[in-house]
Amino acid sequence: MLEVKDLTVDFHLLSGNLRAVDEVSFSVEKGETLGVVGESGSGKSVTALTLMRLLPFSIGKVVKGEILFKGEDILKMSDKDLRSIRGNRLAMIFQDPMASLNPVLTIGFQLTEAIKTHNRVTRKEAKEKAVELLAQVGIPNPCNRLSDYPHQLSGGMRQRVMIAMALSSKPDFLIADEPTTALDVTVEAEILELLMKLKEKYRTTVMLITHNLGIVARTASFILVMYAGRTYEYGPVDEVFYHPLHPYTQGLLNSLTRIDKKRGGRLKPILGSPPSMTNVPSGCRFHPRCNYAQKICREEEPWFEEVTKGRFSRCHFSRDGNFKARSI
Amino acid sequence: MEPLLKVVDLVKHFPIERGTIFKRQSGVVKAVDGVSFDIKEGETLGLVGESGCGKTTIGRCIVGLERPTSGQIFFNNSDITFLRGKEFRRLRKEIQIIFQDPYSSLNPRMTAGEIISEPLIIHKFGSDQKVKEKVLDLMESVGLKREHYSRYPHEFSGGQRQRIGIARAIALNPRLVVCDEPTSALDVSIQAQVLNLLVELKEKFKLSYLFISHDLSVVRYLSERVAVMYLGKLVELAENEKLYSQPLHPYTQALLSAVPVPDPNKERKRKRVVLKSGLSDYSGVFSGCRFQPRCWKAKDICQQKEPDLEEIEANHFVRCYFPGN
Repeated sequence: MLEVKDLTVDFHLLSGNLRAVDEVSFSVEKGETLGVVGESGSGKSVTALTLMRLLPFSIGKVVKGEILFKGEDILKMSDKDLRSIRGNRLAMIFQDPMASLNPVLTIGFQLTEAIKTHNRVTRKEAKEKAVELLAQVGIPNPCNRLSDYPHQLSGGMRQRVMIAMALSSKPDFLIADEPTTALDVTVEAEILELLMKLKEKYRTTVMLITHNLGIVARTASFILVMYAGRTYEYGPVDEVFYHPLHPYTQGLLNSLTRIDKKRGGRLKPILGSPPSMTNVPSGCRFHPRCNYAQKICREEEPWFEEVTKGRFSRCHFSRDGNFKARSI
Repeated sequence: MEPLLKVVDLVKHFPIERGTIFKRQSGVVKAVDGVSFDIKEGETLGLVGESGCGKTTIGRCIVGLERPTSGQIFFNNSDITFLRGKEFRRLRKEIQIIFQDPYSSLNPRMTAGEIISEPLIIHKFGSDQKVKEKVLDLMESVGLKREHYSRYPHEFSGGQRQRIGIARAIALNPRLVVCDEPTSALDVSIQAQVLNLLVELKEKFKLSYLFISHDLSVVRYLSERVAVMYLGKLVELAENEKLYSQPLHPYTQALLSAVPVPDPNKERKRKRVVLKSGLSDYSGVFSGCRFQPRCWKAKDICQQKEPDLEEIEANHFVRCYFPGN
């Protein structure tokens, strides 16, 4: 469905160039859910924005790479072609629904606008469709809600409106960038459930970006771990959670607090903090924080390679599993 | 043993005002609506709830940043609810707070050293030399380096800033620290570091914590006892293990079932309690139980009269007519 090859994105800042996304490659099969995890600054959101070609030209520039959506390169599309698939075959939900809805227009206006853009419908039909969509995403009294402004709805309701809008054209591919981060847990559970239900119904392929590994465990079938602008591990969710190949993935899993774990014992955090992207470490970008770093890790950057079938990792020692205590 | 902190029937209402010149009060937000609990010396009490339930307001009332509408707060057996002036300043040495957002809680124009030394100077800790030594000590115990002393907040990462906030809070050797979501703004790997630091400091300086958070897993990791709040009132209070293994209030059950567990197999098997999207009415004329509009167990009686917070088992308090399964 979607294949990303060697995607590299540079940011041009006053202080110089910054490589936000560096040779990222992955693919998503039809009907799957890919969970993308990483800490802030790992490049996961920039990747998503680039997939939608929403990255402002003034700031970010794709240096190289391809984004094949159903075999066609999104990066090479004309604006006209792009408009016909973006928001239509390819849709996105953002983290903050208040910032992505226009505060001075009603929900109804914004929804019907989205519907009218991609379908030849009359105003009345668009309105009927909007009511139907709102009902589908679980908004009570959809007829009356159409004339509401975003600020009159709660955070959860706003996110439902965003989902309704994204799904208005039954997209083939949906990118959800931290869709529940701003919400309370009970609302988060509802929204995730709704997303998964609609995904089944429309057979949508989903790319879910989150920093919460629990959400990935709940919703995704594959997981991509990003760190400092690069991909670090990829594989089926179960295998990665139960047998992580990369020390960074292990570290992430070990540093989680969990409600299913009794109190007592200490967490095992990862040392240090994520690198600044203006000053990326030599060799493996994770080596300054890695418990198993050796001399080679500082000198040579490992490839993102297939270790066993369908499982990728960026580590010198993933293949033989011969991890030794840190020696640098 | 007498508790270190005792909160009795704490109420905090915020007026809702209309009009710009002739202000009229048009209503009231009942942020905290009669909350009682205590914290023993050396204990960590977790206070969880969703946004807007009043948990932060409780923390701010205890530290004196907010004046309660009614109710009492006792610290070390003396009533501290409405202290002012000298006595209030003396109390400040004993109760400190760590804020959620390490970006807005540090003055960008002061260096890390100045920020941490400020409480020491206000409380006349000693000569400049002594203050500086103490600050360097503190910085070391929260995991900052000496050379960080003269750097400004913007030069630090989120985790390091939170460490500055923590150093400032423990500078005066307080006995109680209110931690208001200290790790919510941090990345997972950094969150674990800060949580471990809080545990370490608690042992080293014999602190007690009121740990306020919306993250039930963080609270599970840190707290001896946990209180669950819903729209201004406690709905359940129990020992950590009890609350997580046998939650009795329907709201607690729903909360726990909503939290995602980083374990795909468990996630597939879990049954989730799905709540009706509730009305969140804080100004509330509630009839009966405030959770009842979202509750799947609600019966007639729940609409008529609000249940009391009752001790159903030893040290396990629940506000529900039909607790358990």
